[in-house]
Amino acid sequence: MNQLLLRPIERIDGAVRLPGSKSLSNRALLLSSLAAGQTRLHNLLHSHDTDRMLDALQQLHVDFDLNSNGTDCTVTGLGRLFTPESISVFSLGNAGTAIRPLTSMLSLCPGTFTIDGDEYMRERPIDHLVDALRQLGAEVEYLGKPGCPPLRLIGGRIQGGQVRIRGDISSQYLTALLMSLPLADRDSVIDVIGEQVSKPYLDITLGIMAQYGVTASHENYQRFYIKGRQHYVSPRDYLIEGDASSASYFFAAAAIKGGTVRVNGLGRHSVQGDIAFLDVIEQMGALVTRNESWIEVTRGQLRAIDLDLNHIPDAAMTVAMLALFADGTSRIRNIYNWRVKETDRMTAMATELVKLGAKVETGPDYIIITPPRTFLPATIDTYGDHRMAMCFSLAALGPSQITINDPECVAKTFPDYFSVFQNITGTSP
Amino acid sequence: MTQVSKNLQAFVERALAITPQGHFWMPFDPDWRSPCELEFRREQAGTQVAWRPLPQTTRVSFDGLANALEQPIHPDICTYFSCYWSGSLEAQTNDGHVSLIQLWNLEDFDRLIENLIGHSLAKRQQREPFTVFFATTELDSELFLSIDNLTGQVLLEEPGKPPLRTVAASVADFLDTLTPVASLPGLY
Repeated sequence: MNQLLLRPIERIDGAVRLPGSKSLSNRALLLSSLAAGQTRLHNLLHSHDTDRMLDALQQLHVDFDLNSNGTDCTVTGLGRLFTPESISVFSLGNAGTAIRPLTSMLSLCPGTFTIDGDEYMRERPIDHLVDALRQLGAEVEYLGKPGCPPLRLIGGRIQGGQVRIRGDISSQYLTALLMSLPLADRDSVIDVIGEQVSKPYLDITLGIMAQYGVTASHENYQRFYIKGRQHYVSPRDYLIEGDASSASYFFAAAAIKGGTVRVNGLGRHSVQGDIAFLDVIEQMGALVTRNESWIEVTRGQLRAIDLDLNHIPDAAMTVAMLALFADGTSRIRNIYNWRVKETDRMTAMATELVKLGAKVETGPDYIIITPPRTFLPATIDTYGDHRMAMCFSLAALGPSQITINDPECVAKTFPDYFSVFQNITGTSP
Repeated sequence: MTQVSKNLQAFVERALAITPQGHFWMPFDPDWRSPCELEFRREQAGTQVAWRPLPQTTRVSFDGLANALEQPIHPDICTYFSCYWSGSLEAQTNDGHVSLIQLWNLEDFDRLIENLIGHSLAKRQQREPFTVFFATTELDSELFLSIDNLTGQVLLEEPGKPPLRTVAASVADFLDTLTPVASLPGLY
């Protein structure tokens, strides 16, 4: 088993840049291309997915200017739907965040399009989106394995209308429909079959659409109403945010052992729910400064809290780590969803916090944490859960040495977490 | 019988046990037939076909791929793909959903080989050892699972990058940990 030894960290200081999220980068590129006016995109993620989107936009006659390191992009919007060549082939590699919204958008544009991906994409089903587009009148034919790209799409036949789509397996298909249907001639209603997953991502989609002047409403994420004949309008400047829940560890580190940590790529207008974590650490006594494109946290005297954190279940794990360093006993309530995650996070957190010397009590939906009298050196199990690994790196801000088992589980969402963490500690892990 | 085929058979039996009638359904496509199809049902939104994994009598061979790549293919890979004619099999792991890639028909095998050749070229460009993908993860995720052609270990990979981590010591071990979930049925 791999282990990572973290020696006690004396001080936290510095800056972290959170790269823009992949899905937001491609949503922003797409909407900027359709919008009336020029948009300056900041903190764009430079990745395979954005490269494939930019290739496709070039093919769709969109003008853009990318700066030398690829993080800022000025897009001159068309102010209308794309007008592709009547027969076009789009090769989108493995860019899932490009193929889904583009397929949906192209289904509104007159022409015959072949939409393909690479060998990985050709194994990945797109049938739920295609089923929805067919209900709306699109003509789609699979050219290889049914359900997967490549596909031939005859666009321009969708007017809007009623459509049903499954919500329990993905939010990306719904996102693709939400972004395209406002440009249809008629109004649309999307009925979601099954309990919608990843609701925060849909909030992000609706949030970015609103920033580009287009609205859609919904009834508890089960039915969406979209007015047709809307137009995207450039917000002029748009910051592509990094992942707010990943930022929570750096903010927490500053709150415990700052110094100050500035996180670039996250701003005061964040559309992500996890940004509410900052309100919690402010209540605990940390000092928070919010700017347009960065947020800074400085250490304060950490006070114990008693809070309902149902709205930020992931960041609530980071709050539990802050509770270790607070001046008394903290209670985090209404976090039933810790138990329904891939690992039983309630039991996992309690088990590992106790190893550090904390006194912990858990119930069905709460955890009570009393800081250790003496921090114990401990070997932390991560249960294959990336958030456990990142949370318990914060335990090294105490006076004892911490060993993290299987630290590579962070690969799922943040492969270079430990090296970024090291940058603000000035020590080598 | 190898451990891979035993554990795949055991998984298929567990998966069939949770289906209502001992088989799966998917939309029928007249241009995409399979020896594992059983019966048809006409519905408003199109014809559905029932299917259940059927052991391959003449097993698909990876000799062609081995020749093209000038390297032997790990026996676990050959066994995994030559057990059944089958649609994708859905399962739950500790880390989330996986969809086991299986072969629907011979054409599907040719398609897989083409994709694997593309994958092998990408691996050579990156100077990474050859792997063979055999499962996709959540629909929103680009991560996939592959078998390391040299060691037989199961790896979590992201296209175009070195493997993220080792998931299991072998595909047989991996199959043993899976909990089948009801197939992702189409909406209609």
